[in-house]
Amino acid sequence: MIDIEEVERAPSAGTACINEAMVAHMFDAPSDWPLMAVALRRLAISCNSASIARFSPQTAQLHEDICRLSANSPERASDLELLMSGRRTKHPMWTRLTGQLEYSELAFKLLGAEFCLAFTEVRQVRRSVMERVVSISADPLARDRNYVARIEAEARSQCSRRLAGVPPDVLRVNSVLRATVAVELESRNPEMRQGAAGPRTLPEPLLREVARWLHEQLDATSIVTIIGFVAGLTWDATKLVPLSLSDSDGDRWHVANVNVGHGVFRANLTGLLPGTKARPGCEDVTGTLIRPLPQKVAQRLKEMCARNPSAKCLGDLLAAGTSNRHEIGDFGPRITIAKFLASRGAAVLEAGIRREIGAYCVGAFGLIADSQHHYFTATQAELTQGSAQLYAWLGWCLPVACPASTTQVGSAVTPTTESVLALDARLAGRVEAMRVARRYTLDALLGFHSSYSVACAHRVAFFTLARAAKTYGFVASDWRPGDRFGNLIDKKAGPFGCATPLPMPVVLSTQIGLWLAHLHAMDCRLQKMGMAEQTDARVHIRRVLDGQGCELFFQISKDGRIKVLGSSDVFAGTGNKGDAYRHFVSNQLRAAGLASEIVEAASRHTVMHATVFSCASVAPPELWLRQAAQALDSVAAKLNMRPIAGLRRVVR
Amino acid sequence: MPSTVRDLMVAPSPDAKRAGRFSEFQSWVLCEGCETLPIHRLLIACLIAFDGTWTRAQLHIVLRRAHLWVDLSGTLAASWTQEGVTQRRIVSHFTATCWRALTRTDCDWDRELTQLGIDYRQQIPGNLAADQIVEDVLLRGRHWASLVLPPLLAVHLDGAVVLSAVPDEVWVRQDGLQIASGDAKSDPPMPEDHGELLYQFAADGKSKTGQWFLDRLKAAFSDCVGPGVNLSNERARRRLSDNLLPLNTELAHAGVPGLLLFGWVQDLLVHGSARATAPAIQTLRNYVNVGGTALMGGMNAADDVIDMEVDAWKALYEAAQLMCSETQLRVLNPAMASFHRYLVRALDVDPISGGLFAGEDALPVASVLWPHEIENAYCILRSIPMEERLKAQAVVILTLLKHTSLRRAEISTLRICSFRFIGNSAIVEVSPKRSHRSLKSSAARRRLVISDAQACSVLREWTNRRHSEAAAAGDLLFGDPHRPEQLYVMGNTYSILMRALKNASGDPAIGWHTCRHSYASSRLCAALLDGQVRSISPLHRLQRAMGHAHLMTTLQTYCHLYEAPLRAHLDAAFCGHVTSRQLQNWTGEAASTIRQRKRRTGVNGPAYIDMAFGSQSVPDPSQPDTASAMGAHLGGIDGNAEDHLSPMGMVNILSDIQTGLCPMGICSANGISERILRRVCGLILSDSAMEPEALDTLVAKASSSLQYWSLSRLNEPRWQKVLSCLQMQSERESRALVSAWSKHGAQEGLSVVVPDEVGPVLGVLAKAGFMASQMRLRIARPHNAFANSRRVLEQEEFIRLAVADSFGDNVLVELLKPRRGRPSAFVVPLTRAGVGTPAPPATVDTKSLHAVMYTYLIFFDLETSS
Repeated sequence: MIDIEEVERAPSAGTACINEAMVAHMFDAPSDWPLMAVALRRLAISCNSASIARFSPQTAQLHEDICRLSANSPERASDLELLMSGRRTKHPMWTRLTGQLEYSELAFKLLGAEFCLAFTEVRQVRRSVMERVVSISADPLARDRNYVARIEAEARSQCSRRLAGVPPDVLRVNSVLRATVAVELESRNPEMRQGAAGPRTLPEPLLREVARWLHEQLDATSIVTIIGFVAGLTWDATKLVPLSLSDSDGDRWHVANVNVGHGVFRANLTGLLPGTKARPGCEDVTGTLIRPLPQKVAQRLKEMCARNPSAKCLGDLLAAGTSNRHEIGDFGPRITIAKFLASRGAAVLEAGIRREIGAYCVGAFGLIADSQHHYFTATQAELTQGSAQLYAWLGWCLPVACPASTTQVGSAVTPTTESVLALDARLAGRVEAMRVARRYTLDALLGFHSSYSVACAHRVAFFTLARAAKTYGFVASDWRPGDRFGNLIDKKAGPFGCATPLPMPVVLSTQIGLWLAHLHAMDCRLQKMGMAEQTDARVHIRRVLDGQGCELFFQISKDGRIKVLGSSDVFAGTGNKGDAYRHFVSNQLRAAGLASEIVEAASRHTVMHATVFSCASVAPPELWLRQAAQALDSVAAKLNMRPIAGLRRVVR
Repeated sequence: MPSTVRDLMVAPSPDAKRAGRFSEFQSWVLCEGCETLPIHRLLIACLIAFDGTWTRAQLHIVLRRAHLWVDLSGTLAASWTQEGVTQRRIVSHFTATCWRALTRTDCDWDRELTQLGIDYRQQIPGNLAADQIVEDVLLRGRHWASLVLPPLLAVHLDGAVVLSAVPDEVWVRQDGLQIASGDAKSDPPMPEDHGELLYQFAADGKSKTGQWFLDRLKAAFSDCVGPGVNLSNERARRRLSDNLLPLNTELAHAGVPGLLLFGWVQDLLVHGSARATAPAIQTLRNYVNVGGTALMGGMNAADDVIDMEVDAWKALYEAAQLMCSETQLRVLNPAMASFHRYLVRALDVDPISGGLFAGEDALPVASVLWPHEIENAYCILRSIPMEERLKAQAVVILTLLKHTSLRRAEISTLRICSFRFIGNSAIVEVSPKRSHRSLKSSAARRRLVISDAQACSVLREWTNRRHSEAAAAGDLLFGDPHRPEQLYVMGNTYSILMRALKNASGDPAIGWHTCRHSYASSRLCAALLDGQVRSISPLHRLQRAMGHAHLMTTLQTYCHLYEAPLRAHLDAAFCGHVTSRQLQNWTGEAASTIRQRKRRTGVNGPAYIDMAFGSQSVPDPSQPDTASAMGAHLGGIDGNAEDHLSPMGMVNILSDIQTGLCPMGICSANGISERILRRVCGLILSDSAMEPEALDTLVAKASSSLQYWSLSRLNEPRWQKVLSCLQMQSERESRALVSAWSKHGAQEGLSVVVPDEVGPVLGVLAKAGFMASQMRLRIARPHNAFANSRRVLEQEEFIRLAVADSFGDNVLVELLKPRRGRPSAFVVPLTRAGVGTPAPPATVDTKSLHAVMYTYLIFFDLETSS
């Protein structure tokens, strides 16, 4: 069995790699990597200037790689301006790296140190540092020597600390594997995301037939093909995947490997998956994915490794000359391994597996948008269950058993259920504590209103998956009890400018009704307490009750002024960010069985090629809005979140 | 006999009035004209002489001589010429071919006409579309065609054809062949009832007749027509009222200058003849163009016309009907319909409230085959006697056309190894070579899945057969057994399939490629009816199956909407609550006003909505007639194509998009496309280019004028009109028609079994101007297997029909797709036979109306109807 804890303790920097794709990734290059030769040449000079080869043996390898890449990269075009034309704003770092600016020696030194540091910490080069590089080149006095020295020292110490013990040959393999995964993570291949079989994929009956045939054959090519399918790697990358016969220390440095003993494929995506930095009050997550192989495949692989003890990677099991254009069986001239591997996204969707689960099950990250990595969390058991479902659909046997683990995979910023319920209970408790009695003062009344408004805003923000905002964008005219859908524009993003309809569950509708009833009673009581009719508070209350376009949630001060609520008022002192509920509720909706596309729509995310707002969607909005509302109601019931009443307990 | 066109024009003597002269002329054209006349003159002569009765051999003589290729060969032409039902089509085909030949650009008209001394360039209208004319006139089966061609001018004149090669020469054919020469120095005869000729000439402005009439018109309108005329001139208006609107004093006294338009057209219609419509519209259009600014300014706004329209047309219609002769009455309705359509498009008149549309005998233009029509095509294929292998090949290709989206060239390049059978499904690999030019994009390389077991068995059988013919896996699927690299009689297969598809559908526009449209439409229909959120969008699947690189190509070009999914989606969209904001969008009233009213009255629910809409009403989704109401909301769809959406329907859809109610998929398939926007824009703004501002204006206009009609409410003003019309019908005509039908039916031994309850529905709808395009009826005929047998076979099937007219208590229904051995028209009694005295229905029970419509699947083409 694999000790996941031990795997997680392995330093992520050990899995760093370097090649063209990684350079492009680190400097946020456009997709076609223009001026790659220029970039590599500058990096080679920078590495030399910063003397990164002396930092550690691994950085010596890095230095060598960069120099080799720089020497081998041909200059593809001479018109630099033309190549970056129109892309400067979108890719500022790449523009600065490849721009026509002449770098000074100090600037090169800073760039090299930052590059090495970023490589070691497995992150992108910082934009601020790139700006410093440019400013230093433009500044003949070079007054930033101390800054450069500090970065260089930091890089040196990080390298010596984090790369200690990493076998140098692992870096080359990791380089390819990590770049392959990085490319897949950024993939927006419409054919994969749409899932409809196209020219580069196999149609459903043929895919299942081919899969069944491969599972029956179980020769070396079939096994590597199946593992490539499960690993989500290209054929060439799959051949490089190391075979790990035991849980030895050396295996921990690999970004991906196949554990022959346990029959699983392991991938460490820490640093590649965004949003995995742990936060207090959030779910405990890991970036290590474990994908169980089909039992027969695992068994057969173990036998083959036993027969061939010298095999270090999957490619060693294969006959020489097997390429991804190798035809599978006698299925025809165009049924190749590459097409079978490219069909994994469609297979996941055809098998009825959720997009997010499927993306993590077979590494088909093109199925989901990049932003999903910030939201999605799943347990290893869910992923294993997804694999079982996929294998059953393909006609394969069951996956090998994986160890049970409470650690989740995915986003590290999803708050835990306990923290959410604690906050809700705290707000509801405060409302009850400040509820006014038969005899009350103006202060008590306003205090109760303040606490009740925060509780209501909290509930509405919860059910609408609201974003963090200085003042919430809930407008009285858009949120009326009984409406079929509401509207909330808090970030003008996507082709619809965030103006897509939001579901209106019963609990939300009731809560808004109670809020309006509270405001009506509040107005009467304020009048009774002698507050003038022209005060801001009473005017605002009347506007809200009339359904005019004014803010829905507000507090009232003693002098009759109003303060519109924002996310900071709701989440003050909780440690959670203002958009924490977007992460939490979206996962709850998934758990409630709502389709991924509807969850995205309810989150006001636009996923290209897979949104219900596209012309390819045949579902009426009424249908999925109703489904989303029902799911939200079920989430509320599960968390026992009942509407909170204010001054009046009857919905107006 | 004359030997040139000039001779043809001048030679005939007055003796040619005899009816026999026409057949003599026909014989001359066929026998001598073919040998002596130049090609274009021969064609012109043929156009004059050809009346649809020529035999196949005679046709071939002419066409071979003219070096024209038409697909009138083989059994196709034989069956066409034998079947009376398709005679019309062969006529139109022949004439169309002739006209195309005449108008083709490489014809050496210059030399020919220079010899005749004609400066034809002066006579060619700027925007002449001969094909369009042929299509409009000839394809609709009007043997008396009105044709305008360079350099010849042919005008149909109430049973006469005027063919003018030069301005001072006129041919007249009347009651046979009457060829006369016009006298250049004297005015042609000017009968009062030939107003349409005058208008044609007036619009034309080149003939002396036209000039004469134009002068008369100018004299009549000298006080009030023309640039800078003050239309508020009371004297001029009075004079016009006295002179031109004697039949409609009520309208004249209304004092609306816009009614001049109606008066003028009324004059044309009442005093005009069969071809009055087109000249009237043209003249009116010219008039509006010339003096339009002043005229429209005098009307203050086009809305005046719109407001007045219903009453004005009603009065006009009634007055015209009272005054019209029998012949004129027959053409009055289409004439009014044409003019009304013009008003709709040019003046933005609400097409629903105008009314007075009568069905025109236009052929259906929908580019989809219904499933039952494909089944019919199978039956036809099986019944045609031909070589067994050819028949089997045709059946396989039809199967492929039905279950896949293969293009013609792709089918031709299929090889045996392209098929792979997995269980009950088959996978077809489409990978045509680039040299075949069928690879429209890289997306055309695709694999299609056929999951229909029956289709798979047909294909499997065919591949087995090919294997038994010793064909290799790489050989063509439809290859010749003896020459593997050649297709096996693909031309014949194509002809047979085309014939089968056309005969099965009754639509000459249907062809091989139509099957791609049908396939896409049926899959879209299934997807929309499913309506669930799927991880893999069915439309993306469809796009891949069609081999399109872009989804919009599939949606805009290939997907036509059936009625059922559209209604289902709209029902779903309307089944919830309506917010005040949506009401604001729909009604144009401020949301605060709506809320105030709601609060004041204390009503809620449907009543609240009703109140917000004022006199209008939103159909209650819980009621059974919601689907009908929604269909009417869309302006009516005959279940075929987006092109059949009425203008108002499209405007409504646009408005739904604005209010966020219409499902995106439907919008894309229907309305979002730029083509539809252009179409809507063209209707309202008369501009093909869609500017953003114009779109905003359009949508705002649509939102403000959006009305939700149920079918009963839609027809409410019409019912009154229908009833009055019913009472005005002549009993004599009705009796004559019924007796004629009875006689025909008795001779043929045929009958159409029309349920009692269908009659009133058809009658009422006919009077309301709807044209039922499809209906399920039972047709009975004697059993052919037994001579003198009294057994009667009853067969229930869909038929395409048009409610041609109604007379008293009967309605005449014409089959658009009559077949041999079946009636081409039948009379349906409006009331139950033998029950009491026939009387027009006093009231219409909407529910029973809808029940009958849905029971018998009567679909209406409201685009052509209203």
